[in-house]
Amino acid sequence: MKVKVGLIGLFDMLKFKNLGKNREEMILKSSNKELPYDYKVNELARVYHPYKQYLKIKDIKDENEDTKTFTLIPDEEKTLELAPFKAGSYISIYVKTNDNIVSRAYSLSSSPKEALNNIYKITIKKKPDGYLSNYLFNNAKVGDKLFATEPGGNLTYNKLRDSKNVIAIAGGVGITPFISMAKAINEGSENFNLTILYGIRTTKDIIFKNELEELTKNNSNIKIVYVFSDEKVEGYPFGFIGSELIKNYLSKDEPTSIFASGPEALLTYLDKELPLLKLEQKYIRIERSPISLNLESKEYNLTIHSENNTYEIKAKGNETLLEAFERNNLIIRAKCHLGGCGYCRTKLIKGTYVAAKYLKLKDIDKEFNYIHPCCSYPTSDMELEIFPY
Amino acid sequence: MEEFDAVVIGAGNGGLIAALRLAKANKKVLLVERHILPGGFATSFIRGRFEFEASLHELCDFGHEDVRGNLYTLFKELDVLNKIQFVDVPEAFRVISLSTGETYSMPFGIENFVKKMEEYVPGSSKSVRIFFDLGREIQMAMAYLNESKGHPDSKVLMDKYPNFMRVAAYPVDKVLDAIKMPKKAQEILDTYWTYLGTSTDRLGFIHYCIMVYLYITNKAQIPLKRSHEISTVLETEIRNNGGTIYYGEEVKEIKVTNNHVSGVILSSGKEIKTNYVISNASPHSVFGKMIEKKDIPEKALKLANAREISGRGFSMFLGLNKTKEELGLSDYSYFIYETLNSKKQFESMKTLDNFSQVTVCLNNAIPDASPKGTTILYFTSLYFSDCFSKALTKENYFDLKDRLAEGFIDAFEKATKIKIKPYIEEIEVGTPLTYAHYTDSVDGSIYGYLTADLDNMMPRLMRMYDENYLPGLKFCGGHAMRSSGYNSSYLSGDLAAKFTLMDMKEGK
Repeated sequence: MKVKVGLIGLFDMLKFKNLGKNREEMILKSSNKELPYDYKVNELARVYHPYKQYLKIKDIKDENEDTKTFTLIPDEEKTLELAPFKAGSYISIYVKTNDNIVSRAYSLSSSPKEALNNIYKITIKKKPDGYLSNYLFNNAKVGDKLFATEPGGNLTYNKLRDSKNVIAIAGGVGITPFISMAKAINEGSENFNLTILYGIRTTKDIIFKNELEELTKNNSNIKIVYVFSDEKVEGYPFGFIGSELIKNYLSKDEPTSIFASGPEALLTYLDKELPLLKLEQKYIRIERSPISLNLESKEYNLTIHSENNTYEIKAKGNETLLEAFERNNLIIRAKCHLGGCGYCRTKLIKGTYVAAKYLKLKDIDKEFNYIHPCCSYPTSDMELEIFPY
Repeated sequence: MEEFDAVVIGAGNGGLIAALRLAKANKKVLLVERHILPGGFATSFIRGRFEFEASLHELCDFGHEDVRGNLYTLFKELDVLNKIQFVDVPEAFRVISLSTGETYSMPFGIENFVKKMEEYVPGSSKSVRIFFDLGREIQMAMAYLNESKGHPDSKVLMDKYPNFMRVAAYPVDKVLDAIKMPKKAQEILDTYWTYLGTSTDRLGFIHYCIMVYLYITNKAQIPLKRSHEISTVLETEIRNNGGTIYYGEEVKEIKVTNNHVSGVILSSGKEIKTNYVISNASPHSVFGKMIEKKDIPEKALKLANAREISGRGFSMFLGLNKTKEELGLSDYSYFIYETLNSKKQFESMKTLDNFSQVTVCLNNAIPDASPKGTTILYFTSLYFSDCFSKALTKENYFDLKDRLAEGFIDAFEKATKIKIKPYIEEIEVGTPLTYAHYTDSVDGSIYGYLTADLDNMMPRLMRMYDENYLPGLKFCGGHAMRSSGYNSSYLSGDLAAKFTLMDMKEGK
């Protein structure tokens, strides 16, 4: 076989030999101008997905006796603008408390449009044993500084995936992602029909009452149904939100998407009730809350490697490894706090642990001993490698 | 101050191999990765009950049973081969033209391929056979060039690899015309061009020919548990061999003293002393923002300015709630093009109206890649211009993503006549912004520099010994001497590490 491309094969060979020389000439002829420092897409990537957002508290509003809304704005010294988000997203905030920095994930209760005007709101309910919620209720004041991750989450609407008709089931402060969705629909950044079944104990537990009423009045795509569990209110359903109640709001001619957010008790109940609706799994999206495992408070020793440092710390059997790290001022990147986002991926060198049931680990990470400290509890002394945030 | 023999910037495919090779040579190596994971584009992610492959379609040059490719050899040398499980991809490809509706499905194996092509294009078999003969000669010639370490004997080349010599300077189209391949057969044979990201009028023949040859003869493989499996094994081996990895840190600055690399400064402020840096980040990033202007060699700027940023990435990942059989997804890879003419196709990929795609149904290679009753389908496309950047604002990103996603799904449904929209249980969309976010690649590009004209793989390789303008600094990954793609990036990481080891030995 003899292949030649030009008329004379020898010239083809010469052409090959000259490739290097021609390339060198191309380089010599080229410009020596400076290369760009940045590119628009990379710049916007940092706006949409900032590594850290430095924030300060602009306002604190009482929603009711145990719920407050914190308005957050950029701390201009370090953050110029807030990351845009899709309604239903959360941020993970890192707050310096008296002793150390503590992180928690909270849904954004403000609208996507407000973020473009550099405003985030998070709405927090005080829990009796909630370390950070108690700290914020008792100590946080306007002007205080904190930082947060980029927004994230899977409880957002997607027109290619979800039904145009969405029933949102909210339990208590689980209303927060849905008030954001309602605002987004009203301001035109989302376009779907939203019926919120809002489960609360009594009328005085309702938060965002005026805002919700305003939104439903302005926009026929938004509906709100209060479902009271501890008080009978004329014209409103009473009891828990179960399949029988949900059925009344399902679309007749097409599937309905169900979104849910709230305390574990409600979500566990829904896990039993929702299958009775015989919807395909794709129509059900639930945002879990962190659950605590009832474990012994036995103390363990942790050896932590972080870059070229090694730390010896104590951890309790009934606290997550993430909590143990933070109590010792070892700060790592943690977003969802539910074991699902993977951001706190940590190498386990030695030791054993148990994880909460919503942990999602990649197949290969299981085999290679990676763990998600945000939902993992030590059951022995451990050695781990973390990466500072 | 911490001190390392070498610092590797970026734990992409090139960076991982470079760091492992150095660690195995008992060098004290630090691998710095800005994200929380190894792999760069070679990773996976979970949505709902699906674990998606982030980027890999298939590995070429790995091999099977008796035929072992370069990648097999490299993984074996690095002692990672038996730690990763590989699975064969079932067939070569199906290509569909959106404008004409024509569709061709091609098998692996030279005989099968030639026979199938003859069915589609009678009279093509002779030229297709010549193409594969050339592939074998190129493979041998490349192996010889590799052994000769930049100093090949012209006489050996002329005597043993004359055809290689005669075709090596030409683009694909010129050679296929010269071997009188019918136009239609050329169009079908050109299908893989998007894997290299340059239309066949500018893409070097030998690069394309050897890739197709390797695919068709060696078949293609994927790891059983996504490319994250390879990345995790490499990461683990780097540690096991004494290497250090910092995640969530970026190299902000490369220090230069007396025209030689002398250290790096990390985003945390930490300073590291080192005389050698291997960068998986592109020359555009390194010379654009990591090195003080006065320390940048003029020729490094000239070379970077002579090059063109290649395709910006688009991807979409669907978890479908039906089986592949229920959906009728019978193929592993669907190359869906507006036109089978690669030059026209390349031009059409310069706008956001481009919905051409290479789409993979993972379950056709790994049946249980997703839970029972479901299927994973993922889409990839490229923009050969800054059209995405131009359309993007701070306000429109989410809408833009939805609009593009719908366009790609519609194009898939139109081309295959398979309905997928009603079955989407999970959807995730990656845009150039996504790639910029995770890897800081220039403008969200995923293919490094355009592999065209004098920046084709061959001229890059011929000059790789001479284009190290800043002593102590080497590049690997998609921007480097082997151009982009998994296989090339792994091999380039190995080359960059070997060059660095030589420099260390010679005190350069």
